[in-house]
Amino acid sequence: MPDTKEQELAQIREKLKGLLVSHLSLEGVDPKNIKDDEVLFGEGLGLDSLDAVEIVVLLQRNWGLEVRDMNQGKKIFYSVDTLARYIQENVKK
Amino acid sequence: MYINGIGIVFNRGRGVAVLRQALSEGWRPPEGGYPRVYRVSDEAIRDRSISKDLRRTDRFSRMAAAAAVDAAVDGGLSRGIQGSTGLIVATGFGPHATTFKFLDDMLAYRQSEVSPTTFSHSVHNAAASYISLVLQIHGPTLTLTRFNSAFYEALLTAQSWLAEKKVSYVLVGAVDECGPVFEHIAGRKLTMSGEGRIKPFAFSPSAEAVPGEGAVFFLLSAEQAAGYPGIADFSGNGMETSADSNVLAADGFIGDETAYKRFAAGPAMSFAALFGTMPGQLAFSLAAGAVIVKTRLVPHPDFTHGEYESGCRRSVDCIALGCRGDVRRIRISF
Amino acid sequence: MKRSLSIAITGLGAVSALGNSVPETLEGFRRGSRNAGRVTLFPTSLVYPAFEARGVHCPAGVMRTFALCLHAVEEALHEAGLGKRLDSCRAGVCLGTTVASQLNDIGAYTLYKKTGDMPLFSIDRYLKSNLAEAISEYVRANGPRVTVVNACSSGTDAIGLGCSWLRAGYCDIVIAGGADELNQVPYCGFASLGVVSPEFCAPFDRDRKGLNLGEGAGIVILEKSEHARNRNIHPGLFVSGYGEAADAYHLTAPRPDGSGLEFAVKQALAEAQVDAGEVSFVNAHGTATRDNDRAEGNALARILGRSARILSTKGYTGHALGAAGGLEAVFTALGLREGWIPASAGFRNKDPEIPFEPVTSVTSISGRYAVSTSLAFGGNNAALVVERE
Repeated sequence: MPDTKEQELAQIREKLKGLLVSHLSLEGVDPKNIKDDEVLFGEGLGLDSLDAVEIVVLLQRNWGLEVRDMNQGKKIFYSVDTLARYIQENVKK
Repeated sequence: MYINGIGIVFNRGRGVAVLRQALSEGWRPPEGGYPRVYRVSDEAIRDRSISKDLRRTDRFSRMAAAAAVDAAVDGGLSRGIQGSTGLIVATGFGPHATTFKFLDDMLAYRQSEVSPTTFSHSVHNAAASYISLVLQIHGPTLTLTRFNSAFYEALLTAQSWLAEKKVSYVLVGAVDECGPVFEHIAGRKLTMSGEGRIKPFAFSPSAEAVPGEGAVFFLLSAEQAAGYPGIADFSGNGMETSADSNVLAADGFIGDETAYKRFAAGPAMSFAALFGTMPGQLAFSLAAGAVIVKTRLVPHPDFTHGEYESGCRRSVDCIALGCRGDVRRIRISF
Repeated sequence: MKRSLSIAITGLGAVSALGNSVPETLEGFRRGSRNAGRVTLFPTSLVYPAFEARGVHCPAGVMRTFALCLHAVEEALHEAGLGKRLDSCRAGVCLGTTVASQLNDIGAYTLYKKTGDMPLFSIDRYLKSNLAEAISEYVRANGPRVTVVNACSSGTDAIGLGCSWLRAGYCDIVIAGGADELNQVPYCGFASLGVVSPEFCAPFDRDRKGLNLGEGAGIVILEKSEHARNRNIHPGLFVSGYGEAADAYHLTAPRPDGSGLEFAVKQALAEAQVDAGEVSFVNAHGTATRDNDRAEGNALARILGRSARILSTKGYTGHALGAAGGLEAVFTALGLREGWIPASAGFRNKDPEIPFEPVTSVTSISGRYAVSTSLAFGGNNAALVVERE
């Protein structure tokens, strides 16, 4: 068990970066080189609408989280950090 | 219409130069154990110049994109004319390996947790979508399928588009993949060759197959270019005369190949043993035939039959037979 | 003779959730039937409503898609006065589908994974269901035959391809259109893309939540006008133009400004030698996804102005994928022939992002020309111009 919330968040971010790279086939991207506050869409990682729905699936499979409202999704999916915080706050302990 | 450029990926590698070399070198057994498959290596379809656009693609789309891009480059298809370029992709079984990957998802996860990326790549026209994206082709784009020689209808359609002046260029090709499940299905439905060698000149009632895969594309236009031959009107009119020699697409796919014999009375060739058994065999035959007519290359005796002698071949008929005895013939000539 | 009148439609066939024939389809339109509900064709944990076609018997040994297709083909051949065998003329077959091109039999695949053996029955059913091959064999057609797998524009493209074949002289008659069954693989696939509505679909509506899947077959018998007249058939409907253009943009998202569709529609109009102002109505693709309707709506408004009558029939049939273009070509021809079009089912409120409202009631039509559009996965855009004599 991680000692603090911050450590827990760091672990989520790390797992998330790995999953993004493998699940979204981000060729040539090393998860270690993704910044914590890396923007996901447009600039930053340069993800697109198909990646967005793939992240929805990734959240369901790995954390049992459902994002149905894509308007809400836009805020959650802003960066690695916002996504990790959403996971931390919503995952059933 | 004329061939302006060719792109090909097959078991021996990628590109027209590799094809020429293979035609001269003769037959080689495919690597691996039984059942043997003429597979395309990952190396042949790794393409850094187009990899960013293709990051999510499967092998099916990668093979198609590699061959299509090469054909466009070979034919000098420049930017700015993409609006007047059409694209037609012919396939027998489409990206089936990705379909089965999606079924794996459906079996492993809840129905709300399947991958949209995998699903969208299992759709037959995914490869055409990527080709149009990479080459920025904005003209009409089609993906056509049937289990035997959809390439023939693709070429017929290309001919009609050029005649109607709908487009100035058509990029037309065939692609097929042999994934593990299809390897199994081939084993169930075809007579597999134990030694891994297709014998096109056996004219056997139960011809043996060795599954293959690959992609081949042609850039076509109404103008002659790059020293390639033309494709005569092959819609059935004026095909009574015979060409200098025939290329037989006899690869074990239809089973009974006795009817091919009547097309081997004169000089005949077949390159099925080089490419492997697949629905797009006719397209691969056309590529080999076009290179032979263009370069006056004398193919290795492994690929020729009867009184085939070295010498000028100015016209070649590529012939594929269907299960119902129908003859599909494409004539290439100067 | 005007070039555009050279390719006649001499037969129509339709099967969908609206009904099993052209008369049943018209009756459904008149009544505003929206026969969608929970999926009954396969077990599923998803609750998205779908439009199932009822009453078409599917024999063992062929795919449901083939059975739907054959049903519509027979209706169309009957209307064309051609009987069930075409071996006495030069007939081509050009049909669109998505499902029938894939071996997505999940039961058979499960067995394969368990035992290492795929049941032969399942393989053969797949091999016997390539639409063009199977229909061609059934009617003994001896011309070119191919199945168009251009995703959601397959049916429209198949008809356009058939026209090219006729003009090139490859054949005198073409059976064209599309067919698709409601199948759990695309049902789950489309759901995963986040584009399926939990409610009845509402094309072009401000609050639309996505598409409903459907199934069916829409078939036209295309024939050289001269060939029809030689059989003492006086054709009244024609395919006068076809346009196809690739977005070259994205695998699953349409080009946001709809410029690919605009190019395709303009091409079709040019081929038909018709001005945009002469188009009496457009049977739009109108799937009711946020992206499609916005891109399509804006493209259509740019071409036709704001007063054009536009409808989507997806509210009656759902999105029947490879069948959609075939069905909608039939609906477009029926609109011209019958002189009326149905209300665009599901529409309530105007979307500020779309410059027009679709027709909201049964509407009389008097013009000669109508357009049917399709936008597909992979970025294909296709348009047909249908003409009444």
